[in-house]
Parts: sequence; C-alpha cells; structure tokens
Amino acid sequence: MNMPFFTSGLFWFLEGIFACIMIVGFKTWMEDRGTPMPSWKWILFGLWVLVFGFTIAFIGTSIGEKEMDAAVKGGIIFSLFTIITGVGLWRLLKIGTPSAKEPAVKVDVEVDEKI
Amino acid sequence: MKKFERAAALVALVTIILAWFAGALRQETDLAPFLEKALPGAGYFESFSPGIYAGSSAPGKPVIGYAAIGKASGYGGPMKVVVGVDLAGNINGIVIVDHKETAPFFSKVLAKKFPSSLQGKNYSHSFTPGEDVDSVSGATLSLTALLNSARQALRKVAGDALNLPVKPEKTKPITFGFPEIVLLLLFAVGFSLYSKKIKRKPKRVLRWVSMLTGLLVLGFVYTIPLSLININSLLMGYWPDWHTHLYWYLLIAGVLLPVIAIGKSPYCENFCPFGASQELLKVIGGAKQRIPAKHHSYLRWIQRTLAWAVIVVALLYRNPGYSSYEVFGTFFNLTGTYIQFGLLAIVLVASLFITRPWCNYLCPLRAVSDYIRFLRHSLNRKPPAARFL
Repeated sequence: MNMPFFTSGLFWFLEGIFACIMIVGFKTWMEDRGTPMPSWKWILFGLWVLVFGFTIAFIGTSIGEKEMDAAVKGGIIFSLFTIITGVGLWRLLKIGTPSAKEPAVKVDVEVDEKI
Repeated sequence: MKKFERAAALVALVTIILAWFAGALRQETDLAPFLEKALPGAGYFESFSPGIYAGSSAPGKPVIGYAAIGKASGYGGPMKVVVGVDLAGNINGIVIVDHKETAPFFSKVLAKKFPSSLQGKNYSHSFTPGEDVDSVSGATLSLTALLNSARQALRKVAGDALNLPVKPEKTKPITFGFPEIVLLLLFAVGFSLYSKKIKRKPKRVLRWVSMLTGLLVLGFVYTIPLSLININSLLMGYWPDWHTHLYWYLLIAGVLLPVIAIGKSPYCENFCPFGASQELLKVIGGAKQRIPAKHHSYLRWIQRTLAWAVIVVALLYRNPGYSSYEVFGTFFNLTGTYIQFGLLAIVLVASLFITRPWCNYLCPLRAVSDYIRFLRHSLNRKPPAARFL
C-alpha cells in the first residue's frame, strides 16, 4: 500500500501544527481549571506523549509490515500500558487543582462584615 | 430469592454429576490410525503385552518394530502418546493421541517441532530439556508431559519387547523448592491476617507485602496461579504425581480447605497474583466505584452461570481446560487467544475504576468458592456471606 502523503514534508508540517495546537490547548485548559503545571508535570506529560506515540507507531508499523498478530496483541498490550499510565498521570496532574467547592481564583478583596 | 438460590444450587450439582458420568461414558479413542502413523511401514499390529503392539508389514511377516502407549501428567491432565520404536530401540515416530493442555501454551511446544524432533532418540537418552532435547520457555509442564510419556513408552518397549538393558528408573525426588516455600509462607501470612491480635496498620502492610510477593513470584516469575483448570482436573480425577506436583496439591488444598472449613479464602483475598494486579490498578486509578446492589446481583449470577457452564463442558469433553476463559496466562505469560487478550484489556482498564472487577464478576473460582460457602452456610442454617473483596 503506497501512501506518499505520509512520507511527504506536508504531512510533517501539518503534524507539527497539530501537535502545537494540542499542547497550547492543553496548557490553556489546565490554566482554566486552575491546575498548576510545574516542570515535573510537564516532564511526565512529555514522557507519556512519547509512550502514546510509540504505541501508535508500533501498531502502524506492524500493520505496514503485515504483522497482524503483532499489531493486535502488541497493540492491546501497549494500548493498555498507555491507558493505565495515562490514568495515573491524570491523577498526578490534578494535584493542586482547587476542588469544585473552592473558587478557582482567590478573591483578594476582604468584605467588611460591618457594612 | 433463597428458594431460587437453593434450587439453582441443586440444579448445578445435578447437572455437574450428570456431565461427569456422560463424560466418563465417552468412547475411548481408536488407536489403530495412531499406531500406523507412529510406525510407518507397519500395516499390521498385534498386541504384544498390555500397552505394547508388535508391528509387521502383514500377518505372519517378521516384526519390524513396536508401538507403545505412554501416559504422563501435564498442566491440565494426562497426555497420551503412541511411540513407534525400531528394533534397535530408537524412536521411529511419535503421535499425540490425547492431551488436556491449554491450546495457546501447547502450541508453543508444537512450534518447537515437538513431537517430531524426538525421532531418532534412543532408550538410553534422559529426555531432559536443555540437555538432549530442546527446552520450551513458558510451557514447561506441557513439554514435561510429552517427554515423560514418550520416554515411558520407549523404555517399556526397550525393556519388555526388545530385552535391551534399560537402567531402572530412579525414584522421583519430591519437588520442594522456592515456589512451594513461598506458597506456604503466603498461606501462613494469609491466615495470620484473620487474627484479631494484629493491628490494622501492620495488617495492611502485611497484606500488601503478601499481594506483591504473590504477584511477582507466583504470577510473573513462575506463572502458577490457581485456575479453574486445576479444579476441573481434581473433579475428573486427573491427580498428578505428588512427588513432582507438590505445588499443585498445596495450592488446591490451601484454597479449598479453608473455604470448606471457615468459609474464607486467604489465597483470593491476600495473594492471588491477578487479584493483586487489580488492586495495584485500583491504587493507580483511584477506583472507588461500586456496582449498585441490583446490578451487582445480576452480574454475580452471570459469573456463576459462566463458571457452571465451563465446568459442565469440561466434564463432558473430559478436558479441564476445554472452555476456560481465564486470562491469567494471557496476563502473566502474554499467551492467549484474541478473545482472551480483549477480555484482559477490558478487565485491566475496568480495574482502574471498579474494585477487582475480575474477582467480583468474572472469576469462576470465586463462583466455586461461593458455592462451597453456600453449601456450608445452608448446612449450618446461616445466611451466606456475600461481600465485595
């Protein structure tokens, strides 16, 4: 199966734009949630993205090599690993997020009860 | 509900007994085609002695070799082979007549060109994996069964029919090593956790130590967790030699006897390798979800029905692993069918959000334990204990 688009420069250009949008979107979303994102969280997130990418690459290249057994069984194993680490990572990323009962941003103005 | 439970328990018992007898009445396999395959060139076979057949090209013609039946215990039950032996005591051909091994594991043995790779082996060979035959990783019990059955048949022909100098078989030493010691220690820890003398915090630590030990040693290193196949083997009377399968007896006795005696299972609760893996995932995913009581009850009945169906089919076909859907081997050995891999994936992902989904809603061993508990409590006239792990 010859698919020249996936080996072309245009694909990598679009893939780069897509990755940038995803990362910026993720950063903005975490800020909106009030979740602090120190460097250790970004490192873990980056490692997880690598694991995710490896899983997709493994399945894709196995199918490309016509190794369907490897694609299915390896795909299940690596996808499981990605999902499990993803859930664990998500719980770590949530650390520091204010709970729903608390306001996302602290109000600096003190209310004078006498008024 | 209680009446329904009693009726279901009775129906299950009756059908299991009927399946046992129906399976026992199944006809023995016709050996003739296997004899011809094991000793090519021989078209006529005559019984020489019990289990040994003399082969010749036609009646009255000189004997060109012998074919013998060999039997040995594997993971799921006995393996039966027919071995063709030439007049010099070498294996001429070997055919597997019947085996009870789990298909994905046995396919590992077949992939290493067994049993045809045993052709040419002599009665003086020891058939030791890694020495005079290839070893197969991840299917040791299946390979051992094949080698022992072939060796037994070969030695029988060499000694009884060919009068060759066969060395007497050494007495099998009792296999008592690291896995057996670990298993006994884990049972000791499991029982100690029922003691009220130990405080809650040390109990929690001890439970995690036993769970992680079970996961690593019984699960990943030795891949020998308890399976419904073991229970089916027990029901079918496939009891292996205790000298070489001491672990099997310790595990079965350690699991079943406490359930019968005190209604508790230290194995399931404290060191089942697959249970431990689900508990680890519970920690990672922070699983807090409990299935609502109504659905919980339905799911439990599905679990019990599945276990009952698997036992009945296994008894009917006289094959302990015939319809097993357990995913232990798939998880610890990465061996299994696509369905087992898919089921494993669902269970592991569910474990992140639901407390021990396999143990609570799918494990057939849980259903067996529940059944024993139900009988126990019915006899004691007490309500059965139904709780989450």
